[in-house]
Amino acid sequence: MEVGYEPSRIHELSRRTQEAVDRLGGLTSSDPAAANAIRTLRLTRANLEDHWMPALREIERSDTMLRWRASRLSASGSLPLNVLSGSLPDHLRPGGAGAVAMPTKRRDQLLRRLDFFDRKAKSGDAALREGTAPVGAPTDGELADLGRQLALWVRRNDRFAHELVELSVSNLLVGRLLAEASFPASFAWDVARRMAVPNGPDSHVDHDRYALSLSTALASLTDDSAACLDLLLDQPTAYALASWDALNTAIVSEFAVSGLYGAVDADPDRLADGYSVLRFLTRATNGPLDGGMSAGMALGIAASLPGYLDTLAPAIEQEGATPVVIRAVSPSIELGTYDDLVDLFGAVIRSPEAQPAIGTALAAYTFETFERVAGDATRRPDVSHLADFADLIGDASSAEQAELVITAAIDEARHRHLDGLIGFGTNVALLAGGAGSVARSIAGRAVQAATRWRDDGEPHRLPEGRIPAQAYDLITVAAVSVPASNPSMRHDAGLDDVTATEWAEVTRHVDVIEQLDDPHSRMLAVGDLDHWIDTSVPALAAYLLELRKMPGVSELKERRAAAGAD
Amino acid sequence: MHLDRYGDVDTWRGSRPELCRATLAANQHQLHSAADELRSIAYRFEQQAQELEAVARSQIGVAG
Repeated sequence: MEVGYEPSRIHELSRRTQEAVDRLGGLTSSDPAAANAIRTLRLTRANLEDHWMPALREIERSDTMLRWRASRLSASGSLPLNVLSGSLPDHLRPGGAGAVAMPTKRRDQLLRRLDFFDRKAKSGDAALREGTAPVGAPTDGELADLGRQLALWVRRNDRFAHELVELSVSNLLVGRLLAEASFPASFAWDVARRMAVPNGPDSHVDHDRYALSLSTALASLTDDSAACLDLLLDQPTAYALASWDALNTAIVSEFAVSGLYGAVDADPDRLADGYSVLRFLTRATNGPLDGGMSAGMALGIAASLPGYLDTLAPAIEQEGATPVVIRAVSPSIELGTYDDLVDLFGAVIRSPEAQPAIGTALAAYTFETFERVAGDATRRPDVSHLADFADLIGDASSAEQAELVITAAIDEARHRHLDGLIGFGTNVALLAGGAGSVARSIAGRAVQAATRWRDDGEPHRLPEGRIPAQAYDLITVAAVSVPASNPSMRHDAGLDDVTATEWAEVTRHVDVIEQLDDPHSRMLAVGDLDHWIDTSVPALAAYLLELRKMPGVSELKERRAAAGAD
Repeated sequence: MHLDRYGDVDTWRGSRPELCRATLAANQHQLHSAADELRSIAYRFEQQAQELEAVARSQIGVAG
């Protein structure tokens, strides 16, 4: 049977079907004479909801919908889809068993070779584990050749593709071959999904080989950010990636960043999808993932934060059981309660790899906030939102080591003035000099900074509860350094009376702070700046006072005092 | 309900779309039958109402 679809008509059909579901749901009657009619209405609605909408959603989420730019079918007149097979791109070519017939002999030959090479690879892997040479393992050339031939038939024959997907959970070479040839993204997607659930952590397969094979499948998808996000939206798969530590951390984090950050960066309309994934993971960390999540997923979430903070921070209203509702998307999404989010970030922070990324995201967000509000800092809620988020991270971080690493990353990021990062599509300068997303760049620099800081032997010197204190100091420094370098915002901030000499002195203080390596010395230097402003620059003192009265900021000050910073 | 116009073979083809179209066709047939039945019931109610009205008028005429 031919298989194919016309994307624009699918969108229209999906919309009309949802309209029909909504209208049918509104029809009701309590008259006994109408009982049969009402029952028929309900059956029809159930049919549309249970059969039509899932099928349409699946098509809309597939890579064919993402890549197809213009409908050639509309130009075909009454030509059937299969006549166009030669002119359609691979991913939209009518598939099905009849698309391109695969000779049985060829199929059997390829599967035999796949089985043979898998057994050779298995013994080669076993030899490596024992520390001996993997004699007899298939060569790179053999694997590349087999991969190319399999990819060719996967493109031509859906039945063969499906057979390989099912085989991937027992023949672990299938996943690994995704790195050897160019397979359709939809095939890699199906393999990753099939392998993740349920043959992951709870199965009895060879976990090491299985993890390697699945990791390779995930890596092959990383460049297709939309496909990554689609796979993360599949909850059993997202749970598998968040719970299975055996998967390659770097690959899972790249995969998660590609989906959570990259896909939304490329298409801002998918912000709701990103939050759907975060909502599921929030629930999971308040349930089966209560003890923590995989390092790869933790780092992926932390490194993706720059894309979410400007919509997440304003949603944090009160602590405790207050819901955190993301109203920047429509319909709005309830992530969970404040306490649920604390558990999510607690699970993220428990992973050492993710800690520096969170600190860097927080610092970048601080500077970006003051750049954005300019002279209206005391009249807008943005600084309060920033303080609320910093407070949440403080609540989430119970381990001293986690706090210390995050605060180190905050300092490093402040030193580098990683501002303008928040929000999608900003700060192209950070992307210069290398491939990878802004988030990956942040995470990379933060990890380097934290590693250097740890190697310097600082951890034992600082007390607990540093994040709120650091965030409070960060707000102070950003609040005065941003207008010092942006004269245009001074009037709106009520800072016209500050003289040029005084601004120069502010800049001198900030430069001193930035050059100090010792966190305790920096804290004292911020105190010096504060004291000088308080005694010498009334306009600036009044400005800081107004800022510190804002909800959230005053709470940070209390926690700063409790940490012994004052 | 005109979903059949939007979900025809020019929109999507395959075994699953065929199943969707078949169940929709069955549902539409059932809905049309249900609508016919309701109209039939409504017609009978109207007939009964007219008969009752005629009886009521004749009763009033006798009483008067």
